[in-house]
Amino acid sequence: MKLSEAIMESLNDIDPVYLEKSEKEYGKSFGYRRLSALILSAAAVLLLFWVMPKPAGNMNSADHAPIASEEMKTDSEYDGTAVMETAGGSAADAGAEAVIVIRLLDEKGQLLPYEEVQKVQTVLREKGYEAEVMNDGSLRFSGSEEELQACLEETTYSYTLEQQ
Amino acid sequence: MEDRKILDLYFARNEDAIRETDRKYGHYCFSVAWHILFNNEDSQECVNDTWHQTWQLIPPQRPNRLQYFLARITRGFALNRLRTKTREKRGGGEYDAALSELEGVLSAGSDPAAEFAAKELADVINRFLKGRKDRDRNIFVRRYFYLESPAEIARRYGLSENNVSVILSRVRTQLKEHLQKEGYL
Repeated sequence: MKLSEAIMESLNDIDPVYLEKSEKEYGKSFGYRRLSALILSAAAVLLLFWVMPKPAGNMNSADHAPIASEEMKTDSEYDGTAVMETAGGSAADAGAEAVIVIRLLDEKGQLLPYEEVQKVQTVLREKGYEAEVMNDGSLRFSGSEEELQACLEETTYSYTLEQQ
Repeated sequence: MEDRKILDLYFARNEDAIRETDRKYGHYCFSVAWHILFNNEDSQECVNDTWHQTWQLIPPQRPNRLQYFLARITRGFALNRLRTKTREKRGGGEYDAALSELEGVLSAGSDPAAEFAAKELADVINRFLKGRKDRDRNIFVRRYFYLESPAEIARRYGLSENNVSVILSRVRTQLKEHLQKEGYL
């Protein structure tokens, strides 16, 4: 018997433990591991943004490209300028309610596409809040975080806080 | 039915043991044979031979893992049947493919005239497998014990077919090195 044939034959006396172990189908667990790794990476990136020093002072003019400001004005059914001013300066100075800027995430922790954020904007507006989709896909919400959470309760979306 | 109860039936010489074994492991054993023979009729005959052999072996044996005890018997019958058939005509599907993969790696160092005994090699192979990573060993077992194609293995473990082929190639090379150390090459 040739060596290769003898090996094939000898495998008949393989330890049954190895046969049992090989039965395990871990395609799903590999997928789960990949998904876990993805979620962990996303969490690490978010954490990085969270701990990075936030820009002090205003968000107006120099911090944003003109096209972004233009987009906000044209996209708004409301007084976008007023919203910007409230967000840009201190809320106390403006005497206005708090404005927070968030990024919406789907149930997998991935950023929501622009169109989906627009839908959320519509829902928030229907609930009587001022909401504005920014050019970069973030959402400015005129209200408290608790109010925002209440609005998003009916959805599967979560969010990260960009600015408060 | 639990394996323990099936084994009790064998020990009681109750023929329901075979019926219960067939019910629980018939499909599995058929699959083991079919991957070697690629023929329904021959595979079913191997399964029947397996039941007969099992009836002879239990008792006195009482296997810890009935499923793999049966798999080894079925595989042995299937390989014997394949050898008989291939003497008449080549074309053993995955068996030939797997054999030629091993030959491709091992032929370079082996004496063509040398004769090897499978029984002596079993311990060597078991030691070799013990030293492998779980994933590599599982893939090797699926390929060379169960004779599953790389595509089937890839599906089972959620890998690409190419990845499986690369792993198999690496393990074959490791096997060659192991056999060289053991003095077989």
